[in-house]
Order: sequence, then C-alpha cells, then structure tokens
Amino acid sequence: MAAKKKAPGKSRKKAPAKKASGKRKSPAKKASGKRKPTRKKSGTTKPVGIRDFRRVEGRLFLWCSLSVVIGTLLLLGARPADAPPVQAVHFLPLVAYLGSLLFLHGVFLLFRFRGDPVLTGLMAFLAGTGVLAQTRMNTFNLEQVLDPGNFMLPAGVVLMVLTALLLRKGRYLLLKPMAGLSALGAIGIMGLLLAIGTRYRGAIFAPGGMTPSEILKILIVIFLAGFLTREIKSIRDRSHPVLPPFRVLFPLAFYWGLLTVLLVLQRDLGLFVILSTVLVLMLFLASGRWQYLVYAGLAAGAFAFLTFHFLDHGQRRLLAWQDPFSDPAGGGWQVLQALSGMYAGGLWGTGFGAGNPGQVPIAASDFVYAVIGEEMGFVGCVVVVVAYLFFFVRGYRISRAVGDPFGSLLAAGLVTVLAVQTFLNIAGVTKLVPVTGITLPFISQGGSSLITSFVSLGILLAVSQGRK
Amino acid sequence: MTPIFEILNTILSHPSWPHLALGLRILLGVMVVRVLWLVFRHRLSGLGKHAKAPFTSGVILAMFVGLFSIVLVHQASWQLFGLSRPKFVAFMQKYDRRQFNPAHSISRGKILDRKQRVIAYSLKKGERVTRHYRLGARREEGEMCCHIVGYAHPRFGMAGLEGAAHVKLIGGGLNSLKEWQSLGRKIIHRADAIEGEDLVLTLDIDLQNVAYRALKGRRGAAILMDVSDGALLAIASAPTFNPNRMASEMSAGEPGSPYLNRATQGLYPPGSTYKVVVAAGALAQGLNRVIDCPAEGYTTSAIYPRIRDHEYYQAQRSGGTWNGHGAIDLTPALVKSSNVYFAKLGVALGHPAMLSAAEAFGLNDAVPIYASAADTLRAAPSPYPDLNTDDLYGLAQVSIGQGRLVVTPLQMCMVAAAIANDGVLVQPRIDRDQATKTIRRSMSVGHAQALGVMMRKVVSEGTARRMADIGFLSAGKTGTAQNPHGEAHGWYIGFAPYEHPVVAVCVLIENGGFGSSSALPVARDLFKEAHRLGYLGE
Repeated sequence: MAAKKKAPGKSRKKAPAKKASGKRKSPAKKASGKRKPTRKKSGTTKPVGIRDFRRVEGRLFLWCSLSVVIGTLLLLGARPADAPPVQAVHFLPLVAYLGSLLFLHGVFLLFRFRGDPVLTGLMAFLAGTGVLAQTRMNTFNLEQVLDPGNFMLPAGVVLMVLTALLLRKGRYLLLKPMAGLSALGAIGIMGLLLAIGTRYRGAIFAPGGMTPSEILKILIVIFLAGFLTREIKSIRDRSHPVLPPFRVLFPLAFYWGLLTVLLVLQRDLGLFVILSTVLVLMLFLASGRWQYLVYAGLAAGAFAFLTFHFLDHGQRRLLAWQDPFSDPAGGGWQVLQALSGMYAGGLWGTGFGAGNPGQVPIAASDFVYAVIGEEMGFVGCVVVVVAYLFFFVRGYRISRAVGDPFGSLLAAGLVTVLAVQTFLNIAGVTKLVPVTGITLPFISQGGSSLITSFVSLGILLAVSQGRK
Repeated sequence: MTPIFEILNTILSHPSWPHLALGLRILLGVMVVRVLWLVFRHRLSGLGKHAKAPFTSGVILAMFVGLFSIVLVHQASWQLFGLSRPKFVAFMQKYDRRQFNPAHSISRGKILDRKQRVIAYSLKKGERVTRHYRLGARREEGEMCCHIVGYAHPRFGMAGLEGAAHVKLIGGGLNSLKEWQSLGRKIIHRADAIEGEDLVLTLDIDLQNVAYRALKGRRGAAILMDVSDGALLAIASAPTFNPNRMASEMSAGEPGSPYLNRATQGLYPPGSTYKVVVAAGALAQGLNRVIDCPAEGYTTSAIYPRIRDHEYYQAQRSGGTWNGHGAIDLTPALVKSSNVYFAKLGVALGHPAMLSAAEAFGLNDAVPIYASAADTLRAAPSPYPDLNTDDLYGLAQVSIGQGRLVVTPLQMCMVAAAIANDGVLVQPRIDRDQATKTIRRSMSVGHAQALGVMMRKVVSEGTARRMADIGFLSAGKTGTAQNPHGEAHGWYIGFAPYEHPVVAVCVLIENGGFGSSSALPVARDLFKEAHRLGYLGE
C-alpha cells in the first residue's frame, strides 16, 4: 500500500516536465559513472557516446510521457459528474507506463545497449495510445490494484529489455541453430493446444484464457530465418527462370502443410494468414525473386476459395463482411457498431471520454481502433497509422542495415508479423477485409499478444545493435 | 497526499474545466505532432551505413504503405462520407445508441398528401429528432394513413413508405457536385442541420379520411384509385395502430393484427368479384355462350358438393322453391351473379385460359407501389393456384372466386381499374412524382366496354342496386366470399362515373357478410366524397 501510494505521488507531485528531467538525470548519472573509463578507450572507434546515442529515445519518451499525462487528465476530467472523486489509484495505468519507460531507458543506458532508440520511442508512442485507450475502456482493475492484468505493459517491457540484453552483441545468432527446435516447438504447442484447449468464440484457448499460439509468431520467424539462411545459396539460385528450387523447399512445404492443418483445425485463420504472409515475404526477401509473390497470390486465392466453401466458420465471417446489412443485429453488428462509432467521431473525434465506444463488442481488444476512431476522430487514426508505418519503415531499415543474412531475415520477419497483424486488425475494423480476431500490436488489451509483441521488439532491438 | 487530489478534483469539476480541456487537447495534438516529427528527423540516425539496400525490402515497404493508404481511404468513406451510404445511415438511425451521432440529427423530410397537407413530419428537440404523424389537430388522426405511410422509430425500425422511401427522406440521394460540396462543409463544421427531401403522395386526405372512418371498428380494406394513371387516392386498412405511440402500441400485442396492411398484403378469397376476370377470359376466348343453370346446381363429379346459386339457398331458407336461372348468357349471369353459370364457364374455358385470364390482370405478380433505387414497396402477389390439369372441381371453384384462390384487395382494385380504363392495366402508385406505368393490356377495348356494360347492369338491376341512387352512374360487382374463418367476407369492386371512368374502388370487409350490405356502403361513401371533391367531373 505504501509503495503504491508513493508511486503515483511521485508521478504527479513533480510536474510532468520536472518528472521527465528526473527520469533522464538518474539513469544518466548511474551510467556516467561507469561510462567514463570505457569512453576514453573506445572513444576513437565509437564517435557517438551512449548518452548521445540514446538521446533521441529520451526525448521521445519525454514527449510521449507528457502526452499520456495530459491524456489521462483529460480522461479523468471527462468522467460522469456522479463518479467518485479522483484518487491515487486512478493514476495506476499512467504510473505503470511512466515507470516502464523509465526502466527501459535507465537499463539500456546502464548496459550501454546500442539497440535502436527510435524504435523504442515509437513503441512508447503506440503503448501510450494503448494505455489511454485501455484507461478509457476501464480495462484496468482499479479495485484490485495488484491484479496481474494491470501490469501487462510493465511485464512486457521488462521481458523486452531482458530479451534485448540477452541477445545483444550478436548473441541473437545463437537462435540460428535453434531453428529446427522452434519448428518442432511450434507444432508441439499447436498439438497440445488442440488436445487440452477449450473453445471460445470459435478459437481455442489454453486453460486460463491464454493464447499460447501467439508465441508461434516468433518461433516460426526464427525457424524460417534459420532455414532460409542455411539454404540461401540454393534459394537464390536462378538456374530456372520461373520455377523455385523444389528439392530444397520440399521440407518447408511439408512442414507448412502440417502447420496449416493444425491452424485450420484450431480455426485460427488470422494467425494462419499472418504466418503465411510472413513465409512469402521472407522467401521473397531471401531470394530476391518476385516469382514467390505470384505463387503466393495464387495460393491465397485458392485458400480463400476453400475457406469459403468448406469452413462454415469462415463462411459466416465472410458473409458478415460482404453484406453486414443483411444481418445488422447479428453477424454485422460488431463491425457496423464500430463504423457507427467512427462516423459519430467524424474528422476530429468526440473527444476523450465523450463517445460511446462501449457499444462495440470487445472494443478494448480487437476493436480498439474503433475506440480511437470514435474519440480521436479520423485525424487520430491517421496519426496512429503513420506511427505504425514509421515503426515498420524503421524495422525494415534495421533489417537492411544488419550485415548477416540471418539477422536481416529475422528482423524482417518480426517486422512483417507486426505489420500484417496491424493491417488485418485495422482493415478488419474498417470493413475492408473480413474480421480475423487479431489484436492491434501494443495498443489492444490482451496478455499473450501484447507480451509477444514486446518480445519480438526485444529481438528486433538486439538485432539492430549488430554484432559489435 | 490528499490535498493534491482535492485540488485536482476541484479543477476537474470546475465550470471552466472544459475550456482548459480544450487547451490541453490542442497541446496534446502539438506534442503528438512533435513526436512524429522527431521520429521523422531521426529516420536515418543510428543505423550506420546501409549501402546495400536490396530492392526487396523496398517493395515490401511500398506494399504496406499502399495497403495502409487504402485502409485510410476506405475508412474515410465510412467515417467522413458515411452519409453517402444510405443503408449505413439507416443502420445508425435504427440501432445506434450514441446520442451525438450526426445520423440522429438528420431531419427526415415531410410526407404530404396531393394537396400538400402534412401527414408526417420531424421535430427537432436538442440533438434528437422525433417523428410525428398528425393530420389536423388530433394525434389520433395519425392512424389514418398508418399502414401505407408506416413509421420510422429509433427502436422499432421502419415500415411502409417510411422504410421504402427512407433514402429520399433523409436526403441520401446526392447527385450533384454542389451537394457533395455542401456535405463536405457540413462534415467539417459538424453542422447538424441536415435535412432530407419531402415525399408528396397521391393520396387525398379527405378521401382517406372517409375510408378510415367507414372501416373503423371493422376489419378490412378500402382502396380508391385513379383508373388512367394508377394514382392511389385512398388506401386504408383496419384495424389501425397509432404510429405516434409505437412503444405502447407494440406492448399492447396484436389483437386483430393491426400491423398488417390488409389492402396490399392481406389475401382473401375474392368471391363473386372474380367473376369479372372469368368473364373477361370468356370474352377473350369468344366463349359468350348460353348455358343452362338449373336449380340443383353443378358439380364436376358426384363426390364433390354441388355448386349452387344463392337464390337456391334463399328459397330454401324461406321455405319456397326456386326453378333456377334457366338457359342464360354472360350478361344476365354476371348481373345475377350465377355461381352455376360461371362454374360451368370456367370448366369450359379450361386451365390454360383461366390462368392467362388471371395473369392478364396481374395475378402472380408482386406489384411495386413505390420504387426507388434503394428500396421498393410491393404489394403481396395474388397467387393463382397451381391446379392439377384433372382437377376440374378446383377449377370450378376458382371460377366463382372460391377454393384455393386468394387475392389482395389491391389486386381486385386493379381489375376494376383495368376494365374502366378500356382494358389497360396500370401500375398503382403512391408517389406523386413517379411516372405512370402501364403494365399491359388486359383485354381489348371492345371487351372492356362490353364488360363495363355488364357491370353497369349489376348496379342498375343486379346485386349492387344500392349503388344506384348516388347521383351519378357507376358500375360494379359485389362479392360474398365463403371462408373457413366464420362469416363470409364482403367485397365490392367498381368504377365511376360510368360514362367516363375516373376512379376505381375496391372494398373488403372481413367476415362482413353480404358484399352488398357490408362493402358496398363504404364504396358508396368513397364515390360520393370523390364526387363532392370534384374528382368525377361535373
């Protein structure tokens, strides 16, 4: 209780500006003590000191923190008149967020970690949007402050920092020999889930409502990066102008068939689409051959056809997507309510706390984009999409800048997962594609998915540091 | 610790907080832009040399940028230009509970009668727009047109013309660039004065009122229609409901099915009124023959009960005897409404001729009363029964408007109108601005006039003599349709004035008994009022 009280007090007593300066000073001081001797040694080889290197991260964190502070105040101000008065506990999400950023920046400075500082800044922006959206949707359990669900963001950040530090200085290459293990692990998890999982809303969950299949997003990328790096010569071989090297790709195709069967049995079509897109784009990246894109297009068409004709689950979703007005109070309800909310929001949005995003079923997780659209308007949505695009651009730049092919493919794969996930979510909410039940990275509520995104980012940061 | 929260709570509940909040929102916007700008400026920093930039990741990036752009454009088509999607606006008005959704502040246009008298209108109170149905002073008068006009209610949805003409009423049909520009301005300023178009009907409230009052307390339908252009002057159904009080109406249940528009959706055996269709078929086949109509009636097989004339039953009731009509031809048969004659005639015509006679008048078709690009209001089709070729008794029953034949009152009104209109079948319409549409020629001019003469005789010396004293000449046919739900349904179809027909009428009274005593008086009231209003000429 005491610790809890202290934390919000710290965040608010000192005004935002002061707070941020404190945040930057303390880790810097810690770091500076250790840094001085090394700087003289390696000063010639490293033109930029760690403090300068991470300065942009600090500045981004500062602005993001200030924004979330203001956003929280606006949300508190928009509460209904008969709501109980504002208490320390209302600042729990804000404090958790600020603490996470402070921890991240401090630890990275302490360890002189040279992972990408812009990517973390973008993460802070998106996670800040998420914190505000979740505060708005009251997903934090303010009655039980110690509910683990309240600390998903700090947990994710800690895991991300640990992953990044563990794999830094080229140690991510240790993942390369684990490609086969990852592949087996992915199949094992799916099989286990089929055996012991429970069905809910058409998908399978492990006991406790967890979705361990999320981890596949990382395992499969590791497997693909490892496999493609090993076979890179034959994959790049252009002895045949059109056809791919079947002999090399046969095991991959076999494995993918198995995976597809398991995912279809699980009815996790969203994850299947993500992973398959990643497969195609990674093949394309590794080989530099556009033919893969063509094959992928054909396969996607065939798969869509089969889905529509043989899976009534997929058929229902497709119908709800094609003509939601034919069943407005049933299948079309969720997406039409989301669009109604966005229409009510218009260009500038209804403002913090002024809309009714609760009308949309599962607004806090899958349909969080509709919440942003309703309360922040179209402009808010454009900002969020631009932030995501910056994130992906940065991610692909990192992939390019990395010297070794494994790291490059690993980074590209992880970014692609996040990009496809973001696209499927946003396009689903806006009725451009059928709803696939996928969360929005860093913003949606959702334990497993959020943690997976953070771990992916940790790996990405480790790769971005290079082998130095 | 607590003083801080006290201060904070004071600030948040202070009257000037909204102004401060607006300032903070602007500040937040500035900071967000600042973050994105910082990221953009550092887009290349810290990555070292990335000289080798394979085209592949560029392709993938371009793909994602393109995809997300499409998403945003698509999103804008809903979020900013949702008004151009009529179904979407309808969904929001129906199902959206968001108080400030602009869709709720769209004022529906008025619904007016042909003399610009208001039938339905919208009232704006604050943000919400409510719909009212009122004619004259009393709210009860809203019941007068409740079936054809229908209702638009945020909880119970839409029905009737309110549903079919929804897009027009909310102004959803944007055609010109100018309209789009004004829409754009409204979106940017979030203006709430979006008003729809008015819908002018062909109805005349005075005639509608006569029909409504005549049907009050009974179950049935009454239609008055212009024979040459299909304009519906009155179309009433009873019992009615009050569209101003949907919530209490809905909770009251549905005794007597008040929501059924009997005029367009109710299916009833047409009884003797259908004999004019059979007569038209006989004329078309050149089958105006003399048939013997004995008192003992007619049947196609001994296993079926005999079809007899009503005079037989009358005589039986009064204890007398009746010798039958004897050998008569079509005119006296129609004037006396001889069941035996028409049963025999129908069987003589046969299945294909009977079917084509029915379809010539529009049976089996769903007649559109109001049509727009977005939606259509249709009458239920009157299905001609699918009889086996060897089912002659079924055919005999259909020939006298009984058996498996059921029709809508609007269908029978169209039959009367086609005869009055020299044999040309016109599509009924309710929108004043919709063009007249001819469906087909049902019969030749000569046959139509011959049939008109017969129907005139029905009024002057037949079963509809009560219609004779209205001050001008008219023609018609009564009907008394047996049905399994109790007393017979009373029917009357007709047209007036006889010399130059202007209007056709159809009245149905459910379980009203003889058509001449139940339905005919309603038709007479309608004719008289139409005459008083000057629709029938001098």
